[in-house]
Order: sequence, then structure tokens, then C-alpha cells
Amino acid sequence: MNGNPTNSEFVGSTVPPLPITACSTYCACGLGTKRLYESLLSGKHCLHSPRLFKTDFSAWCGEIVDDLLPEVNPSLQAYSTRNARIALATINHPADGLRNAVDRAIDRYGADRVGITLGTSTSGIYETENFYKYLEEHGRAPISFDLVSQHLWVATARFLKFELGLEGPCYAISTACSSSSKALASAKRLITAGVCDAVLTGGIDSLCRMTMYGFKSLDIMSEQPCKPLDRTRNGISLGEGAGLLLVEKPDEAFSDCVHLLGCGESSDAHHMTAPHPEGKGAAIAMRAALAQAGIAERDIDYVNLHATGTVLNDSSEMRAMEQVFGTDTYCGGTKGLTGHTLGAAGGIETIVTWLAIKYRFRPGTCNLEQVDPSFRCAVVRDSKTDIPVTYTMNNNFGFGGNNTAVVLGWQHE
Amino acid sequence: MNDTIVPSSTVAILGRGVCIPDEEVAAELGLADTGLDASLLPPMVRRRTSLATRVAITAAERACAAAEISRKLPAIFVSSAGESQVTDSLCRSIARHEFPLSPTLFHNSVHNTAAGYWSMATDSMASMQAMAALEDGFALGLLEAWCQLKTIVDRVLLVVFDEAMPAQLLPDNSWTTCAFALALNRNERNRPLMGRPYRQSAPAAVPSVEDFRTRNPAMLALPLFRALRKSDAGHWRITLSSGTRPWVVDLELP
Repeated sequence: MNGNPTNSEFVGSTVPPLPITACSTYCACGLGTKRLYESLLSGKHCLHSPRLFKTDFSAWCGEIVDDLLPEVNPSLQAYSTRNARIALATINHPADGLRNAVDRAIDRYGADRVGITLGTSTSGIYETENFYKYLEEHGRAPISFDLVSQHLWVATARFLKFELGLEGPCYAISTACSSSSKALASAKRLITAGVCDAVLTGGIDSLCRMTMYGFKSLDIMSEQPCKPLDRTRNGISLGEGAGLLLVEKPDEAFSDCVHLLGCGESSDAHHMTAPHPEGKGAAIAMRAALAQAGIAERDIDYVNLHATGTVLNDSSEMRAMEQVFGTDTYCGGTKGLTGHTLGAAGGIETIVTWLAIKYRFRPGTCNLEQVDPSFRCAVVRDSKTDIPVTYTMNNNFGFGGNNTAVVLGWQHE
Repeated sequence: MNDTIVPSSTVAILGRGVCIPDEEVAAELGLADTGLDASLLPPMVRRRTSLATRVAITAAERACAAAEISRKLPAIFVSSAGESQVTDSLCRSIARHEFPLSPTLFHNSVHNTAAGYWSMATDSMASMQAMAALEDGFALGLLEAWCQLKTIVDRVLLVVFDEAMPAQLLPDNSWTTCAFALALNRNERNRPLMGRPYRQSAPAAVPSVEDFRTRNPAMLALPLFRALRKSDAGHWRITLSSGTRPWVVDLELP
């Protein structure tokens, strides 16, 4: 008997749906779920050349305008990173009411019963880079750098814990581009196993030189705005942002909420950066998510693909899609709009599927001109409104062959 | 031993593995056979991966061997700073405008580097988790393992590791490169049983790790590993973190 996550190893079909009682997002499209929704409908990308720092090559990215980021509370000044400031703006966005929902959860269950699992692949590395630059130029350390509250992986999760007064389990999950979907899976387990009654989850990543030059070194940065799923796609555009969701234990009061139904996780066991060519690991994650959700492939109305825009990634994912869904299921990718937000992608793109359910539309694939003719699935180019969307899936895959799929939907009987 | 402590809703500990390459440190801690042996990794990978990844894989392999189970099981890797030496190299290159960056260093900088190489080396397509929680890391890794066993899997491997911190990031630190691994399942006769980790209201009696310079967070696995090694039958409460409300876990040793 091996430990691979085939359905027989899971007792996941008994895992109950959990209500998503609030969520918010911040990315190049702007602050709040409404701005993301409007951008998805318009299909106009939010990418431009990097402004936060110069690069010695041409690139496009989905950047949040620095001037718009709030300052953190003086008592938490040590935690002030780009990541933390993006987090703060996101939880405080009044229209989405995420902060109020967290406060209500604390009142309802007690702070000990509200946890946080936060995905990130960058943490405060932008500030660490500035620290090394200062050291190189001045030969001494600036006093503003703080290893524990800025650089370490758990820094932004801790910032939110203190900002919001959460006392439940608090940890960071960092599995590259699947980080925040893994965080959703952990949040679901904490509630299902009875450890927490509510968990703030999702993820946050910010632009930095390491990822910008790192992906350039792998030769997968596009010189134009990225074109996921397109016949002429030639690489990624980076983005940054936050996608945060509050998940709570089942309650009749939340029956009107979109629910988190299933999370599937797997590994490729193939290569550190290249996906399995046939999408074998990706298909396992998708099937595991469906099994945990207790629904069939044909029930899924829309799949938000990982669709980064590299030749290999998109091909591999489409092979996996064909294995799991055949060719009729609608799917698309949104990284042409936001850029690839790496450790935040699972949070932001799960919110894309949340919007699709809530506002009854199929998000289109920004920057797509002509679908790669080898793809046989039903790729959505332009957003289509006024259609029922009951169940969705969101895929994210990361370095290390780390795969996730997240199923949302209306609560089923 | 304290018979008032009876762990509830337990999971079983099948095997454990430790890797501390510095023999002097291992001897001080009363641990033997903790040397580095990452022979599971292909030679090319072994040369290109950090000590952090190699100690994690050594301990993981030892725990599976001690448990006499297949290495193809879901795994959870916990570390405070992960690939800090790789990150240090990349940050130096960036500060000096030495571009292009090394593509190998870049993809080996992710926090799930050890998890990724472990899945490749063992040909395991199971879920690989990579998490961080500083001084709560071992406790929350155990909690994540416990939650996985109570919800979706019947076996899981937990590996907690830290690498010596680069001096630029933490001047004058004396972190010891180390990894501790446990193989767990839902239930097994005649094995140590562990309840759900929880927070205690009384302050911890173990040394605080608030001084990060002298003691790295992965070392907080030691009290549990010592209790398992002594194997004194009965019920034990083990402290997993420091502070005024530390994480603890109750054990039942056969």
C-alpha cells in the first residue's frame, strides 16, 4: 500500500462544506472584490512595467501603487513590510467587511477559537533585499530591519494575528505558487477537526527583485503582457496582492454564503520547476478536491486554471483537465489580468471563483487571442454573464511539483 | 509520570528520526547516530541542495525506516527560515547587481524545497506541506499532522528543521543545523499515542526561545523526542513551545 492520495486513502467525502463568510482582495485591479469583479468583466489587463524598482530587462507586472498602501499601526511598526501593508489594506476595505466579520467571529467563538493560516512565497523579502542593499552600500545594518517580524515566513500571519487580536493557531504556509490554496486546505482541516470555529486564510505576496530576476533566470518571463492559454504564449508576468477569506464552521445562519467544499493536494514527484508533462499530479489534486466536495466532474461549471502563460505549464494543465473533465467543462485563466501573484494566487483566484458563483458569470481569459489549438477543453475567452454557476474549481501548482485544487459552491443538501 | 493526564482522541507515533550533523552538539544533547546521510538524493541533487534540505531528508528517511513503513506518505515540513543560506546568497547577488541570478539557487530558495526533493526522491505523489510558525513551529506542525490524520489521511510524516542562520540576517547567532522527524498514523497497538496539541494556561518550564540567537526553534522538538526515547510507560505532558501560554501535548507510552 502506498501513500499516494488516491480516493481510497481519503475519508474526505465526509468532510462538511464550510461557509466563506467574508473575503476581500487587493491586486493590480484595485482594492476590494468589486474592483476585481469589474476588471474580470472588462477583460482589460492591469499590467505595466515595474515601478517599485528598475529591472535591466523588459517585463510587465501587476503592481499595486505604492502610495495607496496604508501605514501599519505604530505599535506594530516592526512588522511594516509591503506584505503587511497590502494585508492591512485588504482586511480594512469597508465594502468587503472582512475585518468586521473577523471581529464578529471573535465575539461569537472567542479569540482562542479563531485561527490564521496564511500563504506566502515572498513574506517580507523585498525589505530584506533593501537591507542587503543598504549593507552593501554603507557597510553597516540599518536599524529598521527586523528578521522575526519582517523576513521570516510567519511574519505577515503574525502581523494579522496581532492586528486583529486572534489567539488561535497562527501559521504560514509556503509551497511557492500553491501556498494560499494549501492554506485554505489547512483552514478547512482546523475547523473540521474541531480545533477552530473560524480561520482567516488565503495569502499575500509582494513584488520583489528575487522573484523578478529569479523567473528571468529561468527564462520564463514574457516581454509582453502574459497571454495564458494562447497559441503564442511565451511566459509569465508577475503580480502581487492579497486574497483573504474567512471560513467558519457550518451554521444555518450562513446558508446563503458560498461554501468551501473541497481541497485536493498532491505532488508531481517529477521536477523542481517543470510540471509533469501529462499533468499526472495535477489530475490527482483535482480528483481529490471533487471527492472531498462530494460532487462529480460534470457538476463543475467553471474551472479557474493555474494558466501561468508558459508553454509547458499550460500544456501540462490542459492534459490534466482533459483526463479529469473531458473536453466540455468551461475553464479559463486570470493571470493575464492580475499577473501571477505567486503565493497569493490561490487566495485571489479562489475569490475569482467565489465572484463567479455569487455574480453568476464565467470569467474570461484576459489577453487571449487564439487558444492553443492543441487544447481541447472549453476555454472561455470573454466573460459571459447571467449564467448559473453552482460549483467551481480553482487550480494552483507550484515549484517542487506542489499541486492544489479548491472546489467552491452553494451548499448542497 | 502523571496518571491524571490521559490523552484523548489520540494518534500513534510509529517511528522517529533525528539529524544533527554537528557531533559535539548531538553528544551534548545525549543523541547518537544523528549524522548526515542524504544518500536518498541523487548525487547531483545532493551537491546542489542546502544543508537544510539534506538534514530534513535524512531525518525523514530515518523516521520512515524506524516505523518500517513506505516513504510514500503525505508529509509536513516545518521550518522557521527554511532555505536561509540560499536566500542569503541570492540577496547578496541582488545587492551587488550580479545578474543573472543562479536559476538553481532561485528554485532551491522556496520554502518547500526539502518537501519537493523528498517527493521526487521517494517518488511520492502525496500531499507535501511546508509551513512556518517560529517558536510555535513544532507544536503547530504536530497540530497540522493531528488534523490531517483526523480528517483526510491515515498516515503522515512530520519533519521540523532549521539551518544555521546566516550572520547577515541574525548576527552572532548560534543556531544548530538540525532536523527531527516523526511518522504517525491514526491508531496502532503498542505504540506511543499522542493527543491533540493544545495551549496550556500556565507558563512553560522549558527554556524560552525568545532569545533566537542561542537556540533555534526546531530544538523545541527535543522534550518530546527525549520522552519517546526514555519510553517510560505511562502518561506524560510534554511542553512544545515557550511563553506564558505554551503549546503542550499529552502522551501515552506503552
